[in-house]
Amino acid sequence: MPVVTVRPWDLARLVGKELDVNTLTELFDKLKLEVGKIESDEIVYEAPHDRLDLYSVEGLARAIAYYVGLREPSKFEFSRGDLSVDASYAPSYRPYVFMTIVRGVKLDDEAISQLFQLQEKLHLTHCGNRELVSIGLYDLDTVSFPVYYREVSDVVFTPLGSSEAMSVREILEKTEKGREYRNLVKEGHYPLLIDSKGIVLSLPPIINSEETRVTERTRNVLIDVTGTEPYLMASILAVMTTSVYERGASRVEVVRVIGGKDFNEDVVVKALSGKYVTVSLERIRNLIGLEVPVNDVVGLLRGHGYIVEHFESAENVFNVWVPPYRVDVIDEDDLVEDVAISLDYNRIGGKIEPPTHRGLPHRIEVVSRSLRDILVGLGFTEVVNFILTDPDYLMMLGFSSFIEVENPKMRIYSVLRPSLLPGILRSVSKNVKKYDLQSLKIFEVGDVVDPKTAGTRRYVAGAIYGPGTTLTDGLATTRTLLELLGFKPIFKPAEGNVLFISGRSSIIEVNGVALGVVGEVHPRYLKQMELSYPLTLFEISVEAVAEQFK
Amino acid sequence: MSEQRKIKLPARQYSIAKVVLELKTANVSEVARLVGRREQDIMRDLAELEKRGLIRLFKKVLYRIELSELGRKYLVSGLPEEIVLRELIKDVRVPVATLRNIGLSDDEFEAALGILRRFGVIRIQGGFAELVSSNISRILEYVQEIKKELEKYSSPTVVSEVPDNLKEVRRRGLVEVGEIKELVVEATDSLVRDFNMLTPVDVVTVVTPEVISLGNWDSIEFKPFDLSIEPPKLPVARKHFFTEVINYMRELMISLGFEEVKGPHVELELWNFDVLFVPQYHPSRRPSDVYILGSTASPDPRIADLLNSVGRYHEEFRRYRWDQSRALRLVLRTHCTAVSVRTLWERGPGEYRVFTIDRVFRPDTPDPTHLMEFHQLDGIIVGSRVSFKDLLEFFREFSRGLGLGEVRFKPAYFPFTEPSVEGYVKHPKLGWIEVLPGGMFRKQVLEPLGLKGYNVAAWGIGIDRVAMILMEINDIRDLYTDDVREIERTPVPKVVLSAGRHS
Repeated sequence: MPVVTVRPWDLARLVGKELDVNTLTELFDKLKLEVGKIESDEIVYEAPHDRLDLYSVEGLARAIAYYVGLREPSKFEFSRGDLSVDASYAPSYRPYVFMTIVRGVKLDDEAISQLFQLQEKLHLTHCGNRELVSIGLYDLDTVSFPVYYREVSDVVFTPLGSSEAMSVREILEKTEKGREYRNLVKEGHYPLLIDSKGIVLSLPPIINSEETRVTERTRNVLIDVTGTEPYLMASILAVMTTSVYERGASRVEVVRVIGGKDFNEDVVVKALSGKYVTVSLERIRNLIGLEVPVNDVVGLLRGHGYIVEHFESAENVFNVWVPPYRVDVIDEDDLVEDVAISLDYNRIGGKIEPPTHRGLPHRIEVVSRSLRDILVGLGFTEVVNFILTDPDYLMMLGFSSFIEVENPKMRIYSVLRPSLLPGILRSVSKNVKKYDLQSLKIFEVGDVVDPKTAGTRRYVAGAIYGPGTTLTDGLATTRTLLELLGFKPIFKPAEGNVLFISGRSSIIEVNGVALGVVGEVHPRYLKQMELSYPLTLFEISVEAVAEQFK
Repeated sequence: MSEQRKIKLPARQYSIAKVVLELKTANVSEVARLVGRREQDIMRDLAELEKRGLIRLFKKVLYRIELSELGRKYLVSGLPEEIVLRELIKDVRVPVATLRNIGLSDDEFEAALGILRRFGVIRIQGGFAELVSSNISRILEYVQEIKKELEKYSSPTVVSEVPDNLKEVRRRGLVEVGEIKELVVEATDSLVRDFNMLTPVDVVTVVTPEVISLGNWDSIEFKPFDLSIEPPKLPVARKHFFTEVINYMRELMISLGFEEVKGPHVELELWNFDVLFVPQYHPSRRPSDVYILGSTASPDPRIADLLNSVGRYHEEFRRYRWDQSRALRLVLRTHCTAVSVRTLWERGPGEYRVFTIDRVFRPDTPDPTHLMEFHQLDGIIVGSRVSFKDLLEFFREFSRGLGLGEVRFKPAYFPFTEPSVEGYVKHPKLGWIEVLPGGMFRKQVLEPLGLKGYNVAAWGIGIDRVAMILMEINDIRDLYTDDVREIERTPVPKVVLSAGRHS
């Protein structure tokens, strides 16, 4: 989630009041901001993914001013302008462009860095690191309309932060942004914003031009978004525009889009108009679980910048205007959450509805618990291992079939265990070596992933280690275990499991169903695992055991 | 009357008391010899007799005197001065060179001359030694005295004080004196007075079938135990403590009316993300945040309608092009909320509560606070009147059930819930920590699952963190230990033991 830095004096200037640390902390909680620090020269917080409008101080100040009642919610005013952008020759792989103009702003260093912070955080999050949407800000008075958004094979201009003119190829190689984002453009088919006098505004989504940059002297700001997702672009442009507007602007215009494919500036007009959401008193009460008084609702909503335009008293329905920057609001339940926040979660409580059914454990857990109890009674200690394991170790033990993840962080945790036996064998070896043990009895009850079906399967596995251990110890243990669960196990010779000594392993059957295996580990693996005494292992399917109870 | 009073003593102690009474004072070694035991075997008996006031034990320093090698030699051959004197008596004037050859070492010879000079019985002049007979009786007396002492200590002797007349032989290195610290036993007045009342009885250390069949248990003494000695620890087989904590949480959920469900570890992105209304471009779906298996499931006809409506909801409300093939990719589930929505799909509308406790996976490198594999406890409360209040009350109840105390709530954001909340509990060292995230499933989650008109309170608690608090463990990896000593030694988790207490 984006980490945002703002200046306390700048925040106070925009809110219209200085707020103490306690008040700010409380407000930050309500706005879902996680406070990093609140100090006299700097406030740092983590903003939630959905509140794009809080990625810079302008939106934060606006939200606080509404919440503390220093500002009355009002609808966002703007007009359709006469200026236009021509998208007739836009690159087909980034076909869309929208623009707005914000006039009469007063910018200083801090204001400019806040707007760039907002642009950067939006790029990194919702804009898919510029792949979906790219944002640009320009000094309007350096641009001559109409502006063209078009594909070019090459162009020469001075990129932002540079002192010399460069070709596109040079920009992609020499500038940091060029190297970072060049994979987003196609060679020889570069997107370009250029004005009617041939001045380049930007090479989206890479870099703007030095000539059109926003400075402290900028009074009128031109904002553009280009990209592949028109609705997302319009939302982002709405957040950007309303934030720039907070810097003392007098007027906002939407730039006309000429020759655009499928979409024109209407999408932006719609986004900037905000939306109407109706919420009923019944839904508020039903979802929160409190009898919220009808007279409180309007006030609670105003604190979040919403305007209740109409109240249908016959049906107790509120028709609410949602500001354009609240792109997170999808339906009435988002408004209900803001009502709940205003009520304070810590004050919401009461009797929980009693359950309508009795609680039940899962069958597999019931059987697992009995298995654990019996094995502990037989002198086995329970160990726990990870499901993610090491393919090289599995292959060393003769396991060839298991599911692998494509993007592991470490090779030793890159495949899903198909059996508990490798893990329990390693646990025996680790403990024997660590404590110089002569004998050891351990077990594990855990899940494995079936390589054929990718399904989760529950197994119990055990190990009996020490001088004189033979298959008989495993047979006696599994027999006792299963007899205590009410079964008569039958042991049949098992073949083909390389882990075990040939002729010294068995399949465990109950009612004609194979439940598991038991066997003496082959000396080649004992040697490999640095064990000096015999080891007998068993593994039984808990699901197969549970099935038998049906 | 007094004759009828009997004091029971273990047989061995009785025989010791008897010996001590006879000897009045004796070394422990002697007592041991007389009762036919080794010294170390009767130490405990002596301590008990002393406790009863029958004997007194004290340490005493004794001296062991025995002849040195030289002393033993002189006892046989005579003292060097005696040998020289004998030659002089035979032949009053003898050349010194002759005397040197009578079998004494140079040192002995010089020493002999020195002594003879000191007693004034010899004069040496012009290479000859000459006897001065007027002083002869004194030296003969001296030699006799020395030889008497040597005789006396010809076998080693222990004395309580070194006698004065040992000085000369000691100075001449003819005897060796060693210190012995001896434990001495002494009869007390009460032993003398009460001895007739003592009765020997057999001492039983282990109850045997013979002892049980004896019947007359007054005639024997059961050896009392010394409880100051630390008893030995026993090997033990145990369940894993993490399993115990998980089982406790399971029981808690069941007691609150929840039914346990399960789901697969390998999951479709559909259930892990898409059904939960997480947009396909969301950061939690990036390869850095989810293990990808690199294969795709063929669309199951049973979920064809679900896929369609999930896609429609994404496109309508999230405003982007939804890709069905992405939803059919296989991943390792990143949260157990996938199980919750699967359950909603299977059970549909109704009034019910279910939970799951199971493992989830996220790409990470193990360290004290991160693992690539950990546990979550996810649950849902489903019903037409279920509310956010119920969720908050559930969190309060859950926290009480685990003894975690008061819960503080803050608004939170999750793509699939509205309202959303994060619950904090107070940790004795770390302060308020987030452990209880949850919310009400969005309509965009519920409607494609066929739960229009229903509310679902949902949460997914990272229980490893809770278990770490409950177990006072600081390294998450310690929860997954296969170290048998650790598992066997870890006490039963406090939370498990405190079950049944009203909080």
